[in-house]
Amino acid sequence: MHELILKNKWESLNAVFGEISGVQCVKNFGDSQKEISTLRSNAVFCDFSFTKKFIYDENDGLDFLDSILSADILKLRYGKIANTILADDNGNVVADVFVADIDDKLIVIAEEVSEGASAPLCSENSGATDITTSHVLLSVDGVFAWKIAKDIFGSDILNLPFLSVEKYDFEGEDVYLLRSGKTGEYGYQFLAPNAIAEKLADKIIESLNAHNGMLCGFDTHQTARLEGNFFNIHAEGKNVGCPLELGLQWTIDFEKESFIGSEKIFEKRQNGLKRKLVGMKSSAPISVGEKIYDGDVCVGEIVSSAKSHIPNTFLATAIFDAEYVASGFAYARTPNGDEDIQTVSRPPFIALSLGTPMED
Amino acid sequence: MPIDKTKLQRRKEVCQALKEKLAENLDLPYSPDDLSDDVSLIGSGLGLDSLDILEIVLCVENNFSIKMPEDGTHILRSLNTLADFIIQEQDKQCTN
Repeated sequence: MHELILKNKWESLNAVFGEISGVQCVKNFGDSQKEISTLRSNAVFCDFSFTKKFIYDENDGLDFLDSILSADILKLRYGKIANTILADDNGNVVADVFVADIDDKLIVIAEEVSEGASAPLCSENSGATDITTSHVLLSVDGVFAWKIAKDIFGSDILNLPFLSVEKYDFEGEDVYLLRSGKTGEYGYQFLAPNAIAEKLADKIIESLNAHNGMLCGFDTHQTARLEGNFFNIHAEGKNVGCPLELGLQWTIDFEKESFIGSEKIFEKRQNGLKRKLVGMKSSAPISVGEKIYDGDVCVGEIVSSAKSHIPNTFLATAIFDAEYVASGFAYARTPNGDEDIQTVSRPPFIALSLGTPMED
Repeated sequence: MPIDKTKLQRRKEVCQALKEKLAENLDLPYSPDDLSDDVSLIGSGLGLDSLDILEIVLCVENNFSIKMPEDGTHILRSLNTLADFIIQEQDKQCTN
């Protein structure tokens, strides 16, 4: 297993480690509920270096990435980020991909469903430089995440729109700041070379402490994705596979001639969907794999779940018979059982960032 | 007790009508069937801008005969949250 560059730092701060697709990750710092609450009320800092990271020359990279990814990458403008997917030949999503265009380069950050699944991104003729182990990706998220980014790079960051990227100098090295994130709150990701990783992390922690934020692990981000209506390849992505059933049509350009898996995806689209993803909530814990019943009829199965920061609320997604996909209906978890779980519109709560503007 | 199929049908009809109107009025590069009920309208997902939002407000008011609140950002988070608001307002009109 590949270890995080900042492993010793996180270890000294009581991190609980896990593994994602063959790479070490921080799961939590001992109190996941406090971490998710702090994300929603303040700001948290998480090491996302377990992601795959590649750089391409812009000219060749655009054509190459357009030939394998589902979005129209050729439309990507300078300074912008596109969120799309990499599928396999069967049309199942195997990587959640962000492509950023800056500095005559394309930066790709990918979360893969299993180790090696994103290999097509760095195939022999791709021209890709793999920076997975030479760079860290540090993420600051929360309603006041912008305060931390501003402390480090100045007020200029306040002008960075969602899904945009900018280059900054830190200790004489280039750091790319991506305004992205999948929490529903403000989010900034710092892509930096290993040489300055420790100093940058220290600077972020210093600012985080000044603003009453805290460190968090990836468990918190998995919960935040579920709360915020963001796709999680490590949960529902892994358990469902089909991007159409997952509701990821918006990541696909159906006018494109081809990309990896396009034939199968277009065929499924043509045939219509028999199953779709739906949000669910309950006041009782929900487990992945649980069946959902309407009377004695099984209508779906839980594919992701988490305890929300909202008191007494457990959230989930389920893959449902398309005929039953509708928000606001109560179901049971045993045939003819108590209806203690209901379908819910996503996102099921209002993120503070939605009504909390950054300062001028 | 099995769910109320009439209520289920009504919810599906509102969502379908909403998808058809939005796909048409916003000239989206997707067919109504490509829009999942939970697709985000702003930011991630469809990534609509402020002009599109204005178009959605007009579309909802004209096609569903309801008034959208001035600060309705929380309603416009996803197609489903918009459908929640439409059904809630239609129910209020029936009660009145």
